[in-house]
Amino acid sequence: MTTFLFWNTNKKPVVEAIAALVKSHVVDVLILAEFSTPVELLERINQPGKAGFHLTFGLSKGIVVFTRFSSQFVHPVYETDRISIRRLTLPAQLEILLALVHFPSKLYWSGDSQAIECTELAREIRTQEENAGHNRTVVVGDMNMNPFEPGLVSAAGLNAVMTRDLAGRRSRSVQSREYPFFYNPMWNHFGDRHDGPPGTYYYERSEHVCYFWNIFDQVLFRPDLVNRCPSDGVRILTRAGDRSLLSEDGTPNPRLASDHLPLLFELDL
Amino acid sequence: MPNGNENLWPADVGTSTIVPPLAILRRQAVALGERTQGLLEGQVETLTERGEFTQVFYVVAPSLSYRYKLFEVRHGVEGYPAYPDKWDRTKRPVVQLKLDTPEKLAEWLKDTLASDETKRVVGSLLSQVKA
Repeated sequence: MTTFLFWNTNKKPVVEAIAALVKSHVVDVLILAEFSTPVELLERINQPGKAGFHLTFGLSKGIVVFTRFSSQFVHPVYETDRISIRRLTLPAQLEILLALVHFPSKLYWSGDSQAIECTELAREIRTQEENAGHNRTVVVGDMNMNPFEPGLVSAAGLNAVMTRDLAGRRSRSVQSREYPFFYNPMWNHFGDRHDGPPGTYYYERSEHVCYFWNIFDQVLFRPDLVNRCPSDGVRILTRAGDRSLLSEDGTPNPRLASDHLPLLFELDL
Repeated sequence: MPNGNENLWPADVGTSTIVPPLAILRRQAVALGERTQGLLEGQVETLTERGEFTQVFYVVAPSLSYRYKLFEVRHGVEGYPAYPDKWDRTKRPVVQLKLDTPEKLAEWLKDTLASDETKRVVGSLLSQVKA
């Protein structure tokens, strides 16, 4: 299994928490948004004299990627300030495309603008899949949208559906145009019927529509990768080592760490 | 009165001398290749939707099979006004610029290509290509 961890750290000093997460979950690919001290982190997680983590090349200011293996195996092919699409080519493993995203907040972009940006991302992913010659793509990041919003579910957007069965149909047709599916396992993480938290981001405001818990941090898989992720292979984390990332009321504690919770997922490549 | 057999198009149709946004951007795309001895290239991709054109400007590193989206410029079929768009890292609401003429677009483009952000992208990519 290859283990991936994504966390929007909200520019908080969370090096110790990241080090604890990397160690306890044996993370192979560490993806951080809003993180500004990569050198300090490398010094903390790499022990002298031992092969350790590498900071990979990339020009997206909002996203940094560290790998337990040589950075040459994570090759960026397309980037903007907030998107980084990379080819992950590990020896003797299936190549995949990693589309890493940190979309603008709803404080500054309307839902319509976010949705249109998703269509641009979907278009670029299809271009890179054509270039790569396969459809094994993982989208991961802070979408600043919930899984049920138009940017995620619309056909021309990311076309991300809530079950493996639906994703197994591979694509759907609208107005004679074919749109490939993503599977969005984050739907499983809403509510309180499971062990984990009800979302990755908590937001409470005195207005008529308020979800309280949101799942802005998401991972999506193309159908070709769905069976390579175990059914319990995606987790929202609430602890970093012996330290809770939550306040007493069970919501993310922005004073202790980030206002987002980390996302861990595994893939059998 | 025309009988329908002659050419009814006016003599001055299609003779506009206004330089369209695409031509201005393409010139700078070529210029990047000249400035970097071909190590990097500019690329302009045209998208059309609902009668609106979007010209997307990329910096491309052919030897790395890599491209970076630097900015985009939207305009209608007339070409002007043109509306440049960039992601705003500051998170402040972006004030939409309106460029009414080719000269104003060229002026904005000169500032953008000389910006710290463009220099960061081009400089980092050149270092990577030469490594």
